[in-house]
Amino acid sequence: MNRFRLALFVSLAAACMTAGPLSGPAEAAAAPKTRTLGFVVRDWFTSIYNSKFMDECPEGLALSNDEIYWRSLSPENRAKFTENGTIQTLNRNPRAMRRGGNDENVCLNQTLVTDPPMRIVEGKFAYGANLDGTTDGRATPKTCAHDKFTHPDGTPGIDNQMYRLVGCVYGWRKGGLPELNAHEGRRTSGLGMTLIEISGVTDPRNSDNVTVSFHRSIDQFALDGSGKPLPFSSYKIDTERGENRYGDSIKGKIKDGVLTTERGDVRLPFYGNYGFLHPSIRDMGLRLEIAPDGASAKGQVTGYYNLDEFLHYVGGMVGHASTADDCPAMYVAGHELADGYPDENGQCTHLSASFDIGTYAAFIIHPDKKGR
Amino acid sequence: MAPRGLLFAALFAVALPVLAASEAAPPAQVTLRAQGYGSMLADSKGMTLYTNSKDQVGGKSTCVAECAKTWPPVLAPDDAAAFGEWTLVPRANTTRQWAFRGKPLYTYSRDVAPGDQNGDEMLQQWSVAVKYVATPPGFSISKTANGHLLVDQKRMTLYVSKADGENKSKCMEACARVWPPVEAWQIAGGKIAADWSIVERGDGTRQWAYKGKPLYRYARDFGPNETAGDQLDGHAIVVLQPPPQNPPWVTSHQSDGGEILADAAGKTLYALDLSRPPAFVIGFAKPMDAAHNWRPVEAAADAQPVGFWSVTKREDGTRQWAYKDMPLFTNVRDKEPGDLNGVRRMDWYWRTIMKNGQSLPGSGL
Repeated sequence: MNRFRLALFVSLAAACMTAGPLSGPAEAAAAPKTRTLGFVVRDWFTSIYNSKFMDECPEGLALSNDEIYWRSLSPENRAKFTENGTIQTLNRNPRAMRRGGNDENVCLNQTLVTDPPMRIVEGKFAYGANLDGTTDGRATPKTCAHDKFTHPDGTPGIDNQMYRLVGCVYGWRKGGLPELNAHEGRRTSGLGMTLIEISGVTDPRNSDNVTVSFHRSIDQFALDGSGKPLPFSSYKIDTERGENRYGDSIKGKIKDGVLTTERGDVRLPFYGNYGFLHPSIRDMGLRLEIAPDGASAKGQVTGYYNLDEFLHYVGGMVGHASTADDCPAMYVAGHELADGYPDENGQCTHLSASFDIGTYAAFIIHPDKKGR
Repeated sequence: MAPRGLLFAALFAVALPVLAASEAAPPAQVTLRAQGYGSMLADSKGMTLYTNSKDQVGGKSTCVAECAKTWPPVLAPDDAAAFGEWTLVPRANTTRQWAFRGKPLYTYSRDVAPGDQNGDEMLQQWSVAVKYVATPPGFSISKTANGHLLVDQKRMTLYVSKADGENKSKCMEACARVWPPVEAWQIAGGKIAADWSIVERGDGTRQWAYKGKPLYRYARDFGPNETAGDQLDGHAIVVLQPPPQNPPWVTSHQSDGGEILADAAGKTLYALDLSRPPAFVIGFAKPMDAAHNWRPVEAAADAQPVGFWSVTKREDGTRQWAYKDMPLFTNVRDKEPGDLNGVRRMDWYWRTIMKNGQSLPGSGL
């Protein structure tokens, strides 16, 4: 090969090497840029279906601690324990709950006494989702046999045993005290703040493959002058020694501005009525309608709520007089109605449930290892 | 001085507080126990004094009748006269109570020895009565989990830097964006409070210094009492009084209510406080929860008291740790560090112990 051809060959070889491998039929497309959406939960209410004439509670509302206590007293004791009738229901409530044999509180110790069976929902409609995949509520490896509801929009096969349990309790019906009190407690204290982080978003109105993570915020709501949270405020995730204290995640997709997720086990922060929990919701799914301006979103959380945690919360909260519940009866009914995740004895440990949530857009901050 | 600084100085010239040559001694019924942050008030026997947040400054005492048995007022003799920061609040039966800076003073019936502070943060109302060291306007002292800290008027934590010399700041430009110097744009008139000085910075501004160390904020502290900048880039918070000592087995963990104290295994500690009044009109003066839900925190045979922590003997002869004279327990439902399953407003005799010494927020306890 003469020098010219050699030089040409070397030049061509060098050009090929710097150009890299020859491309195939099409270049690999660059991965689309993704972004993250964040929301802070403001509203969290048990999904309760109230008919106009309370048809779902044909025998009336559930009996309360106070009523059971009052019925048990002789006329003489009624006068004695209420200072001849001057102490009203609210103030005699502590004694109404101290019906345990050793003056123990039956809401804190729910198996000490046996009360009349609790009146539960007998209606056919409820909000929620089909969690067990059956149409008739038969037992499955993960669930216990139970009755199903029909959604008010006509969708059959709805599982919502939580509603069946509390739907005839005065305070748990729409607008009742325990949830409003918890709601305001969170707003004013900044405790129990849940953050929803949606990552992997290619288009905020349509994204096929997103990850939805749940965190606790250590920052309170930034409120406007009327007391409403300001959208697009910043909230820092709660960590300890650099580790996220919550952070469970599930996969989802956004279609036409509506986020729907697959189901997974999620542990959430909770504060309400002076009590702290971190309830575990199994097979939790989220449906969130994101407002066109992205400043807010509302939707439903459905899944199986841990019964023991729920009863512990109810037992310890304040406001039993206004809630008009009866803890021992609720304990028994809760175990009879539980429809999710049987234990080794076949007793289901979770209640199918649905919650209505409302959120505001938020910037979610991940602190560094030192919490900064 | 830069022109802007001159303009501010001209418009807002403020004479800084001048200390009197000597401060008036307290009344005979009160003593001052020196602390890093100033003084803690005590009575003539050394028993800690308290104030009640429900008492309005300059108003009457709200603690009467049964309350006054638990929180005895510090009474003044008949011939006592108000002076300086010490005033007299009329009570029933022509008695009068001493008040400091308008807040009536009390002792606590469950304090048994001089220095006991068993009433501090009780019912989120009662606080140890203190007299903080004088600070210039715009500064304050905050009680936190890290002790009593120097803060600004918005309770934002202040820092000093190892790199700085005596009354000399080395933090300029990029550094000053991360560590904004605490500016002193007022003209200093008269004497500045002891331990305080004003530093002329290389950029023409003036900066406050405490004990010769220029003061800074940290740009990533977003709220009151945050200390994200501590031990970062050679900076440190200014601790006037460290927090009380804990036994070596005590740990702290983040909970949903804040940082709480726990045992060596991370189980939340609960103090049984039977001194609380019943929660309701016809409440019961004993816990409502079943005893089997609570485990006493056992003390080893050689366990020694430290700080607010002591050892008590149970009826069965075993030894149990106590905090501020309240026996300590864990709750059987708590499984993970930070769990708060023992916090039940219905049974408000169980108190968690926050690392910052305050009550658990949101618990109503």
